[in-house]
Amino acid sequence: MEAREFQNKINKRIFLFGLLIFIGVSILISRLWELQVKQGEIYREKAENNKIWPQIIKPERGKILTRDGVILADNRPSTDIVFVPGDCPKEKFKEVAETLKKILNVNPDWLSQQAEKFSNEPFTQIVIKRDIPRSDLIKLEENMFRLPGVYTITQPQRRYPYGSIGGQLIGYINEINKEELATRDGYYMGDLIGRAGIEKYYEDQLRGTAGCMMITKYAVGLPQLRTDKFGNLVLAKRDTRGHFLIEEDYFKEEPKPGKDIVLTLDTELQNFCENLLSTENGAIVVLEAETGAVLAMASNPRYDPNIFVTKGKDLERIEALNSKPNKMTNRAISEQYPPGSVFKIFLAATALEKGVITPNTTFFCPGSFKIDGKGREWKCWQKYGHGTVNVVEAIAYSCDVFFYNVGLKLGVDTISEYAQKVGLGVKTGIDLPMEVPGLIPNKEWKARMNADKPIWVQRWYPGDTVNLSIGQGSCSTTPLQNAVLMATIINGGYRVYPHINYSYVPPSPPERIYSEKTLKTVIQGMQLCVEPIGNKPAGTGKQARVEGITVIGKTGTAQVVSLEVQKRYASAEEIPKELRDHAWFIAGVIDKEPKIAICVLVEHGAHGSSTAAPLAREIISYFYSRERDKHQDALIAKDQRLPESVQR
Amino acid sequence: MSSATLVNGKIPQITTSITDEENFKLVNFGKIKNIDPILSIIVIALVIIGWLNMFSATEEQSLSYFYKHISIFFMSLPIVFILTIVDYKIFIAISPMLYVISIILLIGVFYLGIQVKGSERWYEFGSIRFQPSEINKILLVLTLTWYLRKVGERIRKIWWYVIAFVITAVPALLILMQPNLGTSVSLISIAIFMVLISGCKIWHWLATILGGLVVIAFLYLEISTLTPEKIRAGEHPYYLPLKPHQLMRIYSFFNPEADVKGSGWQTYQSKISIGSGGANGKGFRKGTQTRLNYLPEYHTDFIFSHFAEEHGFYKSSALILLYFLLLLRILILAYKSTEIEGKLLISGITAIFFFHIFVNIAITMGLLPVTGLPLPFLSYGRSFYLTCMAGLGLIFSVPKQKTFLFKGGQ
Repeated sequence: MEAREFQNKINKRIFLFGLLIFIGVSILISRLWELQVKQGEIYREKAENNKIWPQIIKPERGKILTRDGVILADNRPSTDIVFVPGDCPKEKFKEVAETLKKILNVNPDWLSQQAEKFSNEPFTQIVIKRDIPRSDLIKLEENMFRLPGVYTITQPQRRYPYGSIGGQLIGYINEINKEELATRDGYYMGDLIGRAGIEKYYEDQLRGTAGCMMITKYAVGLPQLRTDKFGNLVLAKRDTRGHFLIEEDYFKEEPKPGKDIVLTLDTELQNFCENLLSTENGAIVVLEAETGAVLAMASNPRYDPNIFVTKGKDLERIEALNSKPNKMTNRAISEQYPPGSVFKIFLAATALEKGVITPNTTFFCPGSFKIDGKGREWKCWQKYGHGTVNVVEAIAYSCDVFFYNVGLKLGVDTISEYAQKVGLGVKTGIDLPMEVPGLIPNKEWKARMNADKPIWVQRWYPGDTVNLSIGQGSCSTTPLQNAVLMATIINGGYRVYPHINYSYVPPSPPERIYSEKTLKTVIQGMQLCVEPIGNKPAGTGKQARVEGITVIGKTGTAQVVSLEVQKRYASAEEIPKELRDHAWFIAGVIDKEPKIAICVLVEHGAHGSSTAAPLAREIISYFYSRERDKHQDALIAKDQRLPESVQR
Repeated sequence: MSSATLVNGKIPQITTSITDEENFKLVNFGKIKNIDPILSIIVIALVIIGWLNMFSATEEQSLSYFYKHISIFFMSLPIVFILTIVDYKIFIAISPMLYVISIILLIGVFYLGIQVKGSERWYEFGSIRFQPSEINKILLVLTLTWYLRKVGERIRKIWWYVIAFVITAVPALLILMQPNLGTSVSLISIAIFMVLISGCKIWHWLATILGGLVVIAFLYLEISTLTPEKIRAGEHPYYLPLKPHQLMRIYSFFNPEADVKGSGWQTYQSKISIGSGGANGKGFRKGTQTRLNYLPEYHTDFIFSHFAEEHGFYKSSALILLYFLLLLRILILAYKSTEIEGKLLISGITAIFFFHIFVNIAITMGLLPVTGLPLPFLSYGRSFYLTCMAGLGLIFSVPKQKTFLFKGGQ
């Protein structure tokens, strides 16, 4: 019985719900009556006669400059010629067509076809020639009086005045696609968007804010913008169907141009580094050790970003996108290589810092190494051994056996922890897109990668630590990461935040990773690597020595294929280029200001000591010998000619 | 004996829970007879109006929406039949479990979903996209039915009343964070109508509505301190995790002149479309607003504006009345249901329909801020279309008396 009463109550509430719905429907119908019947005439007039149409005005994109005042990306005016058939009297059409043929080489038949095609909307602006040269524009302006219906539209066109200098860092822009239009706020059809490098990373700052102009217009036909002879944006008097338009001054938002981005790059040095690499594939990174500012970041092969913004360069564009090895890849941050012996610097500093070894600790190197004297044998690169070495000598002569011992003493957990602190095997956070993290393997990583394999494959063995100790195995880093390691060594052991935007402020106070005492020993070893000290001969980096400057450095060799494959060839010269090892050299300068940290990577360069170290020497001697121009203008090399595409 | 016993010569069963049902059958093909002819005719009329209107709205731009709009109706028919023949109580019984799964899906979509148009998040399986928030509407109706049936008359106690809103708030907040304001508010409206049906104290209910109004007034004061520039720069009250464009919609509802090229523009154009239709309309396929691309979202949220422009006041009112008939017929079916679960379930589905119809049309006429809600059977939007058809299937599945049952006996 209670259930019955409850049900009756629910039924009453259903009535109440029905009543609420009735009220809702009444509201809707009365509002509909108000809009359609009471105010219908007003709205009908609005719809049929006048419309407020918001016309978007595009902003100008910000420039990209370097700290020495060189403009790497800016906008030049580009003029399109349009023809409005409706503004051209019929009897004059023939004359106009002939004049246009003379000046711009426009086919008169094509022009009359176009005029025919738009006969419904005779006031459409038909583009007859895009981006005409200055000389043609002057000729055209002289003849404007006998060209009724011909107008110009001048708009900014992106250009990269120095072509491929820093091209991979600047990146390029092109038209936004449909998917991005749907997902990104505030973009309109035909807008340009950054695709790579700085253009992509700082898209939000560079692009500016679109303006808006209110136009009262007739319901049919679209309003159009063009430019007057002074280059100012003006509204065409009639829309495409020939109805007059009125611009509503009371509501006009001017577009806000994008912000300029100033880079930390030293354009001269950048150019110098790129020229050094012109014959070899690889990367060079030069950092200001104290701040982490990127002075130069070169990568070869490279591309000229102008091919992406200039019309008629489709073949070059496709070639660049599909090139092998890929020109689009910035090898300094987007490729990872095994660090090889360069990793020993990091290992030595960490072991000294942790107190695992002291500057006096020695190990005996007989030329090979076994864990606890049994099992697999690891070789030192020096067949007959280095004898008894301490850490300074081990760095200078790159003794593998010493670091096998150090690595085992440190353990993989500490290595992995410190690698993250320094910035090896993790993204450095540089303000460029497409950075790869590299990898310093650890226990969790090995277990995760082999999760579907038996448990004994998942386990981390001491042998894995031995491989890691000399930067081989699965270990990989980017050239930028090794430059960061070098900068950390010479800036007093502080964490380095590499950046390319001049206005970037690194977090403060900086985290200190290595103490003064640790670094003193490491620097001593790296100095011995480059120049003889006392009666000890110089180590593997002697080719990097520069008279009058204290250069410290370390070579490295990253295996591409295993030693067994290389052994198939009778001598080192016979190994094909693509199978040769990658050559590393990291270098730093400690007695000059500003202190710079350099990382050179030459792909398939075979030996760090012979191919990479000389490049570092060139860079250092160039950087400190150059007469610095106080006025900071026209720093760029004078023989560097503007690329063809921007010569106009 | 009361008049109730005379129905079909049998005593109508009033069951109290699933377990005491004597002849429980999961699938019963005989229930095809349950399909209500009057409701079906109303729905088919709306569907056909929807097709014609979609054709007229999209023929100038792209007919692909029109074809997809037709195909989704036929694709949804099997779902209606399946839901009709399966005993709906099984869905109510498992609804708490489904509710928990849906919450997990809603949390998971933050990590695994892809974002479309900078707003709602979707799951993507190959080419199929699936929006988890859409299914929550029906699911909430089922869960609340389950809950309110368990609670019974205790709903008059304040705590049981509040728990119903807690059940609603969890998915509603997760969906708000997606962010999807429209669906989130629609869930709250479902709860408001369902607790009313289930027999809560009227003053509780009025206090809830009043509280909601106070919150809206508070938001109005809060938002009016902002400026369009601040909103575009991404500023928002910390308790309102809305995207700039969503906040802008609310802001421009209160300040119509603020965002002339954005959401203010949408409402303005929509009002012009409706108003210019006048009493008799511009004629089928003759609406200039859509054809000239003035009306935004002409095939989804503003489809009613297109209809009103072409057909004028009389036919548009007739459309609204047809919707009124739809809601009325569903409520009559709720009234005729022999089971309390059935009454609650059908009322919940009515709430979904009513909320969408009322809010969508009110938005197009500038009565409410733009939130992006579809209009049942007319708007393009396949997830919501399926929701509506599934709702119909559930309504058909509920057993009903043949005639009205007035005032049951003692």
